[in-house]
Formats: sequence, structure tokens, C-alpha cells
Amino acid sequence: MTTNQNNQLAEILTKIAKIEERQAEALAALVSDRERAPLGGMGIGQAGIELRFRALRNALGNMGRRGETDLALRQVELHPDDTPRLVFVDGLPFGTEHITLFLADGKQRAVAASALTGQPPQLLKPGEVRTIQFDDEGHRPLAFALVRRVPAAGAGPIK
Amino acid sequence: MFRTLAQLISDPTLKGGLAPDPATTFAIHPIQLSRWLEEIWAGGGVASWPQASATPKALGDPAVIDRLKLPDNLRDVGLRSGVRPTSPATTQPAFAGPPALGVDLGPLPWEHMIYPYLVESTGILQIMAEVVRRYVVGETLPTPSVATVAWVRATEELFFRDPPLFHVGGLTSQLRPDAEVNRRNAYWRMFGCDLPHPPRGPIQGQPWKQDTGPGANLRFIELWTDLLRQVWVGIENDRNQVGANPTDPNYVGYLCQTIGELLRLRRRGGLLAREEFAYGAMLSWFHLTVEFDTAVVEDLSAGAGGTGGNPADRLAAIGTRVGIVPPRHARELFELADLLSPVLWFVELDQFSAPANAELLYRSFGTPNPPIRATMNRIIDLWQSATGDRIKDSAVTTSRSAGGAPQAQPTRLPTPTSSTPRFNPAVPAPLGPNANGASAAHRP
Repeated sequence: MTTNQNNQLAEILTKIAKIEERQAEALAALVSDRERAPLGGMGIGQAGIELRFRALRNALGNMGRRGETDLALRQVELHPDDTPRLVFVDGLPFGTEHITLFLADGKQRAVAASALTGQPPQLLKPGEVRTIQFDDEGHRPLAFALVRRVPAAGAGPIK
Repeated sequence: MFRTLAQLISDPTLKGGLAPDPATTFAIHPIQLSRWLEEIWAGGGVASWPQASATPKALGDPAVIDRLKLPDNLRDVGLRSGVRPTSPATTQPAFAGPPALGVDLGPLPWEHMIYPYLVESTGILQIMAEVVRRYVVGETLPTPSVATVAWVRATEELFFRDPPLFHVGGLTSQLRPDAEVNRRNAYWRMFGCDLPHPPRGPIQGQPWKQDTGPGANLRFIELWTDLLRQVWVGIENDRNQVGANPTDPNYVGYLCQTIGELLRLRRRGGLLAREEFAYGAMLSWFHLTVEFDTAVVEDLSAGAGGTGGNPADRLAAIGTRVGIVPPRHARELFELADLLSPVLWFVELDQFSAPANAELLYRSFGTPNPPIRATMNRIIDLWQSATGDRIKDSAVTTSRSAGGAPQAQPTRLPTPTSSTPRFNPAVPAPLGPNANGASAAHRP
């Protein structure tokens, strides 16, 4: 084999390696996107409506009926201890960067996922939270949660 | 609400995967269930869910919840429900400490008014009322189990006598004494529709239509049917890569906006909110009764194969026991009730009025089975089957009659053809004369 042929072969092998690299990147992106619940061509606003629709169906009790398996709700608990805290029992959905807390007075509070501590993640002094939405770094909605209020030991009825 | 309670008993955080527990639900004392409804009302339901718009639109005025609920301390201390049964209940569940099941879980939504309307259209209330009546006045039905006796007692206490004073579900009074007329009045105002069967008892004329003034949504069914047609056009043409696409997201959004405005018009100031809550709870009780092979279903030998069976089959079997035949389309009506409730909530909350958001009703966005589009597709199938209105064939029919290509959007907006709405969920299968055709026929 001549030097020229060797150079051509090396060039071909390099190109093949680059193609394989690109394929691996594309595959990784695809897998990552699947884990984030792909939106297809859906806009962020549309995805938000779809998520809340799924959550409403779940909250109306449609889970468990007719074999429906679509689950949009995550489990989050509010512990009214001396220092009230939100406990994200299921952890955070994959890719969560932003968390929106919907409060009882109709206002919203944005929290960065990095502000949570502990395992499972917790948030101190969250306020009167009723529902929660989880978004990724591009603010694409990922999941929704109804907050379950856990009574403190020996406490009276929850208001 | 009672179907949600049955779900919560086996699955307190609504995480899915577990079947509801109707037996334990029916074992709870009726006074606890009555108080539990009061607690759920105070949670605010869909009015407490995050809204996309800055102006709250749920229930006409979300403040209606706070203004009509029991004072917090009275409700949470003196009149609390203590509902937190363990599943399965072998005896009557104990009175548990607070908070009650479901009350601790965010704002639990309740069903839209379309749910009780469609479920009642199956004739379930007339059939089950007759079952209860026969069990309490004689022995013409098979011997009941203790669980059935408890169900009969709870059913009579909760739905066939006046609720406790000052209860949010107290919707009968000296001014509107007939509960059935009151329900028909609410359905008429909201959807411009009557139930497909005549009322029980000696009721002259149609008193539920009196004094409603201009307050009946006579255009609802017409607009809704047009929306289904337009959504089907969208689904059919979603994958068009070449050629014309007659889908018009602006028109779909306009129809959603118009339907939403109609519904909100009837709710101004929070009107009909209590009725919607109470009737939804009532019909969910009876729906739950025939959704599974419960004690009363088994005692009446009306089982339909455990959890896989269909409520319409159980209802038909019970109906034969008491001489009332439900409409042929009861099967579709039960399923439609579940599917339409969240869709109409979202239409009413203006979620689909923008053309971009209206696309959610029919576009797949490259995903295999997007939930909103799949729901609409199923609704169209069931609606066709229940009403005989060929939504999916409309393009072909129009093409043949007009001799040209079908128009996705009419050149002018549709107007009512008469004051009488043409929709009737039981059409073309009205109840036979030996069924609900006359009140005397209810008790052969």
C-alpha cells in the first residue's frame, strides 16, 4: 500500500469516526429528549395547557379507571412543623430546573431547583402552596403536583 | 366526587395503579359523607387551580366558594367528617382524626355540569330510585345483604330527603320543592337540553323552563357539534404534507371561545355553582354503584364481570328487575361523561380560545397519542354513536349534496333553526312506553 493510499484510508477512517460521533450525539439527544417527555412541535404555552389538562383528569380520579395510565401528578407534601417545609417525596422530574409554586392567594412564587436541599429534596418556608409545576431549563413544563398537607403530630385540624 | 373518594381510599395520593374501592365508600356513614362534601366544597375545586388568564373565570366568580362555605372552625372542628377509612372495610369505618381524606390533597376538583347531565341521561337515577323504593317498602327484590341495606340507607338519606340545614347541597326549599325539576332547570339553563326521559311523578308541563328568562344556552349543542366537526377536520388533515388543508385553527378557537362565553354567561356571580357541585356528587354516587360489581349489583344478580364490566350492562340488568329500560346509548353516555367533563372545564376557562391553543384539540405534534387530541377523537366517536350525528361523515355528505368541495368554515355563522334544541343524547333511541315513557310504567 502506497503512502497516498495510506493517507486516503486514514482520511476515510477519520470521516467514519466523525459520522459515528455525530450519530452517538444524535442518539444521546434523542434519549435525553425522551426522558424529558418530548413536546414535538408543541410550544411552551401549549405544553403547559396539556400538562394541566392531564393533571385535572388525574385529580378527577380517572387514574385506575378503564386502565388509564397517563400520570401527570407528582407527590409533594407540606409539613407544617415549626419551620414549614415542602418535601418532594418522588424527587424531581428529570431535567427540572424551575419550580413554580401556586399559592392559596392566587399568587405564584418561582424557585430554582438548585435551591432545594436534602434527599428527598425539601424547601423551607414555602408559604400556603396549593399546587406546583415543574419546568426544565427552557421553561418547558414537565409535571404537576397537588400538595398534600401532612398534619403535625398533636396538631389540631388543618385550616 | 364519590368516585374520586373511592379512588382516594385505595390510592390516597392519586398516584394511579390501584382500582377504586366502592365497598368501603358505601360503608361510610352518610352524615360523614355529607360533611365530607362540605369540606371538599371549601377546598375550592377547579377555582383554586392555576389559571392561565389574569382574570379568574372559574365558577363565574371564584369568591362564591368562600361566601357559601361553612365557617372554617365550625367545619373543621364541630362538623368535620372524619372520613379516612382503611381499605378494605369489613365494618363501618371509624371516625378518624383530621384531616379528612382528599381534604389534605390540594384543591380537589369536581365534575363539570355536563357530567351529571350525561349520567342522568342514562336513566340511572330513575332505576336506582326505584330499587331503593322497593327495598324500603317491601320485598319484591331479592334479599339484600347487610352491605346493600347500608347502601340503601345511605342513598335514601343523602339523596332522597332534604340534606342537613345550611348544607351547601341544600337545593330544595318551599320555593323550589322538587329536586328533579331543579336538576332539569340547571341542565336547561346550562346546555339548553332536556333529559331524554320524562320526569317521575305527576309534573304538569315543563316547569323547569319557566322563569328562566333569556337564560338558557339554546345554542350550546349546535356550537358544540360544529366544534366536533371542525376538530375532526383537523385530525383528518393533521398529516397533510401536500395539497390544501381545510383545518382552520382560528375558527376552532372561535367556537371554543363562544362556547366558553355561553357557559360563563350562566355562571355570572357564581350562579349554578352549588347545583353543579351537588348534582355531580349525586350522580357520581349512582355511577360508582354500577361501575363495579358492588353489593347491590350482586344482590340483584346484575354483575358484569368485575372491574372489566361496563356500567351500562349492570344498569340494564338492574333495570329489568324494576321494569325500566335504560336507553341503548347508556354505554356511550357513561364514557362521554368522564371525557367531556375536563374538556368543558378547559373550554370554559378559555384555555383553547387562542388559535395556537385550539390546535391542541386536533394536532399530534409528532407524538404518538397526545392526550387532548386522543380525548377529542374518542369523544367524536362516542358522540356519533350516542346521537346518530355522523360527525366524521359530514364532509362526504356535504360534498354529495352541494356537488363541490366541503367547506371547513361556513360562510356565515350557524343560527338556531328553532327554539327547540335538536340534541337529545338518547336519540334515536327514546325510551319505550314500557320503560320511562309514563310515570305509571315505572312501577309495573
